Amino acid sequence: MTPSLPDDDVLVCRCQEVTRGQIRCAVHNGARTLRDVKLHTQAMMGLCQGRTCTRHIAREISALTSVDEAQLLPRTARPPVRPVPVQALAGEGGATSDGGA
Amino acid sequence: MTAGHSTTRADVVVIGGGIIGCACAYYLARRGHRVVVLEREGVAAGASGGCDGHLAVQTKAPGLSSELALESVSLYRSLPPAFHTQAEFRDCTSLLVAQTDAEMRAVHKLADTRRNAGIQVRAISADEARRVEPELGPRMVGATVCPTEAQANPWRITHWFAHSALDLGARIACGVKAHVVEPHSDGVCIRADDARFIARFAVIAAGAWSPFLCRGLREPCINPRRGEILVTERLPRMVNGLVLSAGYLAKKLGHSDAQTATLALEQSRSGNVLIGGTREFVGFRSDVTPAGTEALARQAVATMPRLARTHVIRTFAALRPHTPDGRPIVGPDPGRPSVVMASGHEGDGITLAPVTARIVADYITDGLPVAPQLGPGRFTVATDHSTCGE
Repeated sequence: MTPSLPDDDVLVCRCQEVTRGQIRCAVHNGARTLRDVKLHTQAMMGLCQGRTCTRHIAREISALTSVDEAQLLPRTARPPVRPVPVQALAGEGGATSDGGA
Repeated sequence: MTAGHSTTRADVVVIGGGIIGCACAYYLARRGHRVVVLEREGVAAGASGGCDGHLAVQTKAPGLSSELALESVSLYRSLPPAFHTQAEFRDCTSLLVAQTDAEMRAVHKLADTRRNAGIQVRAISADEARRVEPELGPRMVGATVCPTEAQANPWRITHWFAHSALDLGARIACGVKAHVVEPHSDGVCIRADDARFIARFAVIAAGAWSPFLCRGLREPCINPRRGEILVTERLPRMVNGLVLSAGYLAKKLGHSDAQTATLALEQSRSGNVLIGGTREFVGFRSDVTPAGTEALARQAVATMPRLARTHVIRTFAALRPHTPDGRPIVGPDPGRPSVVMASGHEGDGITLAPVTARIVADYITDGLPVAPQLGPGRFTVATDHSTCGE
C-alpha cells in the first residue's frame, strides 16, 4: 500500500518502542485516530509524549485510511510540555520535608 | 425518517463504547444476542480511557455496593487467561492510609463495617503498612489493608471486551452518534446521524451523556464529575498495590469540600505511577487545572515523599457519571422495558463493568428482575415519556 515507507520493524515511537508494524496492525484492527493508536499501542505515551512521533503516526494512519493527515493531528494538548518533577508541581507544599497539607 | 437512510436490525443496540458498553456487548454476545454498539468517538474514548485501574472493594459501602464489587471482581477473575495478560490484570493489596488520628479512628470504624460485610479488611499500624508499601512517608499514622483487591489497565480491559465481543459476532460502529431512542413495534428504534437501528432492546451506556438519551429521568440523576490524574515517567516498582488516602471515602461520598483532591496511587505494569484524583462538578469541561495538579502533587509528596523527585509526563481528566446516591443506574426504564440503563458508575465503572453487564444480560435474556436500588425507577418522573432523546 505504501511501498516507499520503511519496513514494519522500524521504531516509530522511540520512547515506548512501538514499531511501524504495530501502528499498522492497530489501524488494521480498527484504529482511526491518534487516540485509538495510543490506546492500542501506547505509542506517544512515553517521556516525550509524542513530540517526535505524532506526525509520523498521523501520516501512517492517513496512508492506510485516506483520512486527511491534518484532521488527525491533536487539537488539544495535555500539560506538561516536558517532564516536570512532582515537587515542582506541588508548589510550596511539596518543597519541604514537612510536605505541606 | 428520511428515505435513503440505512436501517440496521439487531437484537440489542448498545449506545456507548466505554467499558460498560463493551462489557455489555461481550456478555450479551456470549449469550447469543446479535449486538451492535454505537460509539460516538472510539472505544474507551471517554472516561474509560481517562481513569486509573483500581478494582477496589474495600472502599465500597457494605451491602449492595460491596456485594456488586465482590461479584464483579470475581467475574474478572473468571475471564479467560488471555484477558488477564492483555488487560494487565493482577491481584494486589490495597491500603487506605490515615494521616491523622481522626482519620485513623475513621478507618478503624470502616474496617469493622467492611469485615461484617464479608470484605477482608483490617486496621494495621504504620509500621505494618510500610511492610506492604515501603515508600509510605512518616506522616502516616496507620492504615487499613485489604489483601484481595485487583488492578488492571482500564482501556486494555475495554479493548479486550470490545475485541472479544467482535469475535462473538457483535458489531462496533465508531463515529456514530445516537441521537434519539424511540419506541418501535419490534422494541426500539435508535436514530443516529444518517442511519437507524431497530432492536428488541437498547442499552444506554453513554456515561455522563446518558441523560441526553433518556429524558424520562428526573434531573439531576447523572452529572458529569471531572477527575484529573497525573502520570509519572516509568519508574522501578515504587507502589506495590493500591494506596488510597483516608480522605478518599469522605470525598467519594461527598462529605468533604468538592474542590479538593483525594489521593489514589497505583503503578501500571509499564512503570508509570498514576496520581489521582480530583472530583469536581464543572459541567462538561474535561480540561486539567493548575489547582487540581497542585493538589494531587502535594498529596502525593506528603504520602510518598520519594515521588517528589519523579517526573510527571502527562496529565489528563475525564468526566465520571455521578449519581446523587452514589449507586449506578442499571436496569429497564419502568415505562419502557425495551430501554435498559447501564450508567452512572462515577469512579466505579471499571470495577463494576462485569457485574453491570451480567445484570443487563440476565434481564435481556431471561427477564430477570433488577434490584430496585439499582434500577432507574428511583429517578424516574411519573410522566408519559414514550419518546426520549435530544
